[in-house]
Amino acid sequence: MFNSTPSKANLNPTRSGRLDALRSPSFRHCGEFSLPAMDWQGQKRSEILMLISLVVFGVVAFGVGYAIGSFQIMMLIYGSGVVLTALITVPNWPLFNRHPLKWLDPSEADRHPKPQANTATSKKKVSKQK
Amino acid sequence: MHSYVYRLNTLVTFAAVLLAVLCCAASFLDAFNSPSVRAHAEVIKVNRFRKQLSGNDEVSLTLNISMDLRSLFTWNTKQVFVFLAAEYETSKNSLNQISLWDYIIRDKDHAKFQAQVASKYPLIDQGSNLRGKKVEFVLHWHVMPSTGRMIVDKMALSKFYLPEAYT
Repeated sequence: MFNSTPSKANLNPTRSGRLDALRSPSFRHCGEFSLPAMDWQGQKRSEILMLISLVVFGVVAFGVGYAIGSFQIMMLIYGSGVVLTALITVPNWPLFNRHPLKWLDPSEADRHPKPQANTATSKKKVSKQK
Repeated sequence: MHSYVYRLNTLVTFAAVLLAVLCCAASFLDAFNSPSVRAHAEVIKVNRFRKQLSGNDEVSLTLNISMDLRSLFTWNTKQVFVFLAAEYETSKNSLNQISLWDYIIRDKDHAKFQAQVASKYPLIDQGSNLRGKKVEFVLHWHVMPSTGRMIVDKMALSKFYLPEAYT
């Protein structure tokens, strides 16, 4: 988790702004050339959607399998439900990125330099974007 | 949940846990199945009754078996293994059980049948005690589920007296 306001200038002050996003930790595995893949709201939505979807598919699979009397049908419905949930929640869809974090511009960061580290370092509070 | 690898791990783990819950639920419902089995077995002919060179008695029978095991099958049943055992008592062992015939029933449609079978496995005694012996036929079945525990049960069918002399 980040303890200070994220700033692109901290990553590499000499490069241009967009490429610096590639070095952020949440972005290491993605191949897209854009800002970090899923924002906080999107991650929360994705996780809740995943849990509810799996439970619903489980209940439906059990109900249908028991009513029909076929164990295979239950496994089929549940398996396809798991695959479907994986397709919806695992990849970095843009719909989970509707509230992206506003990274600080390098020019803006230069105007407010970080305080020098003293014997007592003060941590800046995290400011959540609504 | 910041990368797809993390989300994939969470999804796979939770899906596996839910799968275990589903299987437990399916197995648990099996306990409410109260089956009623009907079966009948009788000896048509004693094919062979002799004393082996080792000193043990050996019997080979032809049986007429009929059974109805359809009520054992639930949606969670994979197959039913059924065998007919001959049980008798001797001075050396209080209970001898020898399987004479077995069969695997894979689905409900084949669970009711009648057959005239020669015993698959010979009845060989430990010793020479079978002349005139009272033998009881007991039908055993093992209900093997798709998930969960196996249900083992049996039913006594009929009695039979072996001949007094070797044939």
